[in-house]
Amino acid sequence: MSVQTLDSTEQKPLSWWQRLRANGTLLPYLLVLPTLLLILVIAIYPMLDSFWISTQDNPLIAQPVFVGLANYIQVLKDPQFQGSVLNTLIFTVVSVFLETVCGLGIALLINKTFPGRGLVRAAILVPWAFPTVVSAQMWLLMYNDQTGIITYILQLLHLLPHGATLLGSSSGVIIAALVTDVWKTTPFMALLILAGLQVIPNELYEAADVDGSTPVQSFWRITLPLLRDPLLIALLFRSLDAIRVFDLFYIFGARSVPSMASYADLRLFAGTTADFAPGVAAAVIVFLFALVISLVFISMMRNMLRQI
Amino acid sequence: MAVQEYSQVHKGRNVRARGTRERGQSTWAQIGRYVAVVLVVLIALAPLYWTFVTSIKNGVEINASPPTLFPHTIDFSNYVQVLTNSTFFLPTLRNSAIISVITTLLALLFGILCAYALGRIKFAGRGAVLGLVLSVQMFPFIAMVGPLFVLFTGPIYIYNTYWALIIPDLVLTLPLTVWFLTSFFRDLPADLEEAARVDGASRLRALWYVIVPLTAPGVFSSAILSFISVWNDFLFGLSLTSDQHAQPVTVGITQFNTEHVTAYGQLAAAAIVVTIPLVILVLVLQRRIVSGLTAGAVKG
Amino acid sequence: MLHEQREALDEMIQKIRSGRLTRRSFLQRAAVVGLSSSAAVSLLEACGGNSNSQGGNGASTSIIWQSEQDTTGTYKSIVDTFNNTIGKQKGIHVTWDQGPAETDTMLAKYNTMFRARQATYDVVSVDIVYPAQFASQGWISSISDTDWPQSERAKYLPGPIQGCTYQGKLWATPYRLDLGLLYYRTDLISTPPTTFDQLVSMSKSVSPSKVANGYVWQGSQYEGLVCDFVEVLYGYNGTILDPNDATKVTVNSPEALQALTEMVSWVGTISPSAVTTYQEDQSLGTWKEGNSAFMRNWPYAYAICNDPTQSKIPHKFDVTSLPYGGSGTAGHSALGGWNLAVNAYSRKQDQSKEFMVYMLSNSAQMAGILGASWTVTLSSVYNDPQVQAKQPFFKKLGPILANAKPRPVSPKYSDVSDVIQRNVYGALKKQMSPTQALSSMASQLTTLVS
Repeated sequence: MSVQTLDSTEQKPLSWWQRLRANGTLLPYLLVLPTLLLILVIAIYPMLDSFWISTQDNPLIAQPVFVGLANYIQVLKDPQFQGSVLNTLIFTVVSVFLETVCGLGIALLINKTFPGRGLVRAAILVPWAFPTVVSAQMWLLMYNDQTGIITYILQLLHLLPHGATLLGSSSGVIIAALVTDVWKTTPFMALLILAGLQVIPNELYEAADVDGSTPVQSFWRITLPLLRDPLLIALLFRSLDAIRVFDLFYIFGARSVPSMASYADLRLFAGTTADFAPGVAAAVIVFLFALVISLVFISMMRNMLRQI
Repeated sequence: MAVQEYSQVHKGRNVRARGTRERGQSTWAQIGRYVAVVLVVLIALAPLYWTFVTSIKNGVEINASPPTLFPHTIDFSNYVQVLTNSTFFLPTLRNSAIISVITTLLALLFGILCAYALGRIKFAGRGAVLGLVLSVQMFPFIAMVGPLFVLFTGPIYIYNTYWALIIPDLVLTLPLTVWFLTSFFRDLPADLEEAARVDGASRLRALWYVIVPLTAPGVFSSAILSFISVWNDFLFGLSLTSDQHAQPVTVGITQFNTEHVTAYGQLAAAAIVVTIPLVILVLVLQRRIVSGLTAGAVKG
Repeated sequence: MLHEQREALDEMIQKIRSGRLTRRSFLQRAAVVGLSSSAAVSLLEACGGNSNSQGGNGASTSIIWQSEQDTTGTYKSIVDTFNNTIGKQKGIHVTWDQGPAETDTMLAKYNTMFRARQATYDVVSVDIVYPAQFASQGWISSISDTDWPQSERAKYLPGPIQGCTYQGKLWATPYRLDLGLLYYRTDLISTPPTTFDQLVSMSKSVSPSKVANGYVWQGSQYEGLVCDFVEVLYGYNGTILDPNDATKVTVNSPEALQALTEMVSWVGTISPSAVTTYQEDQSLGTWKEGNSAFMRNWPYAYAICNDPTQSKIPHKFDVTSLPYGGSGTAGHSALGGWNLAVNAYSRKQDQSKEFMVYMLSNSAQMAGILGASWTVTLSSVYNDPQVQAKQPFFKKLGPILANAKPRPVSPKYSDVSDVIQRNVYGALKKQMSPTQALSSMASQLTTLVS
């Protein structure tokens, strides 16, 4: 970028290149272009393509035939997929709820200064940084029926019959996935909420104090309403993440207790080539769920978005 | 307002006490708080402890019932196995490192340019661009795997290469990188950049010589976050690569858990090797990570 | 290895033969295209050996074989022997490439290669259930009478050949096989059971009094469950598909009902309820800790359980045939195993088949059984005194092998297997009754196979 060109820009009508170099109106478009292109080519295109593929009988052969919604009907009629929808929805609702409540609790806990707070914050961040699939393997070490300490404790407490394991039942797999996910993701929630807490002006609490409200009252009247926006954003992210849960069910549930995403993956890669398109259809259904979630949250956040 | 928040998040040290009231809390409440904090930390670290303990037990003790909380034997043979005898572990670890670094650098390059435009230039369609970039966050990656598989095994044959992962991983990181950097850039006082431009520097020069250095901590935070999210990818690695030429370590690690032989000790040792860099990263850089994580969300 | 890489390799081979590429730079470039160094050296030998003996023109044809995972080095040495003998005479050089450990990973790898119509590998090792599926999609070449004469085929174990046959043609040659065995503890059980009733009563007599569990097997929802189910089913004289007409589903039968009811009754009684999460390794884990009187598993467990560093019960167990029940008269093992098939997209069909037939030879089969204790397919090797002296275990396998049967052969095996897994698993988990499970299995299979 040469500085001289700046001076020569005033004389005659500018070529597009000159306009760009002159920090003119095209510059911002040029700057966002690479990112936009990348996103169009590697996110939007595959996403649209998946709609197309899901209406074909077998995209892996030379002349696939258009079959309309047949793949969707096949997937929706499959009891295993119906089960996976249920598993995923339970997982999403419960995990997001637990993570928000626990996250809020931890955030309130470490909002106060105390010696070693930095260390505590680092310690709770550790699970968040782990690859989910590695976390799942670590918890698998504790869940398995032979050597797992959790199975041992549950059997000791008679919460599990002798010889059984948490991973032996559908509800057990969902619980296992929930526990692992809450362990891993609560810190993320806690930190988002903590950041939200720290921008609430102290004066508000002081004023409430003067009015004689109890800490519980000021929590409901001040803290929660002011946390609404950061909470909504965090909830949106968490819900979108939870609805596409893959790793945890891939490890804990395998073929017997799949999530929607792991069901789709099994159809895509573990079946015959004729299972590929139904697998894509299942994945598109996951997308539709995500779309609904996004729309719901965005309508709740309309005011906030307007400020951007 | 945004600037004010920026300084609050970044000067976390000074505002620590904010939002808490120094009203007379009873000793019991304080003890309760400490007990709760200790409990939270214990729960957070327990699985890591269990994995570590499993990794240094010998084969007989791993299978012992009841399980031993403190190892009676200390045996590093699982690490030796994982690091020297496994044919796939070290190659996949290397693949993960290469893929994560390249993807992070690319995401930063594209992200800085895009975020600069979004954060510091007013132009028509700005909201639409930001909306489009962020909408990608909504896509379930499983819905992209099928089409990418068809694409990468057909028209663009890059199946089982680094590019087969770098390209989709960019989708994973670019939206968040753009969002974080946009908020960092936007919150920078305008006069600094203007001063640079008065000196005759073009916008891009100002970006490179003034804005990026000034927001280096923010750029660094989003680089760490990007690195972690690429390092942690499993789905793309599972679907778009087939062997240790390109497979990431998240897929490699599941191979210790095969139908016929589950080597729990080796699995644990491998998990420790994969996570130790992350633990160190988190412990050393937690302030940076926290500010990166919270920057986008709180400010909106 | 990718298509382009294979082309690059072929080009390099041309260059080194014509002297335009040094040995050193060949090895460097081979590493760049992702060939392991041992494979590269092996290719180099092919080039070098031939330029001397045949003066460049009749240079040897290079073919690449991917096997299942072999950590014993046996395949490597068989390939070396081939290259130095028959290969040298006929101008064929085989490069062996190690396959992945897990069969699912391997299937995905093949699916990708064949879907992209590539000849990365000329010869592939395939699991016994896949020849029909691959053949129906035109991915592998059929084996004619001239390739491998009918008279020769009679000398091999019939089950694996049956498993590799689809629409009257043979699509793969069986190299080695796997079969289900009943392991029992000789310190607890004096005479092994022959029927399922005996298995149950013996289990109850020793468990939980002397040992935690009676019987451990593979009840997780995966391919192994299909094996365990067909073994009980065959033991009760049932079938999944009509043996004479593979488009007729016969699984909704009284025999099958007895079989499935039997399996369901084990869960939570003689078997721990966690058995529905068990694959081979979890069963082995329980068993080798001395926590079960019986185990169903493959031959690989034998050596592990006799190793005192890994097992608490070395030399305290033995193997026998799986039990039978109802109107059955003999137990049947499900056959697993590895077979060689030729990639239909390979341009080196004749040379590939030459190597494939070599793997059936007495010398290659002996190398497998002596070198790696594999259960190979040539019947005569089991009577060989050298084998019997070195591997007394194989004496016990004779009668079990004779009764072993393959899983149903289908061009849509992955789907057939999925249907069987789901319904059997549903019954084991008591989400449906055995009657419901069998009728839904039958109706789902009917839509698949007819």
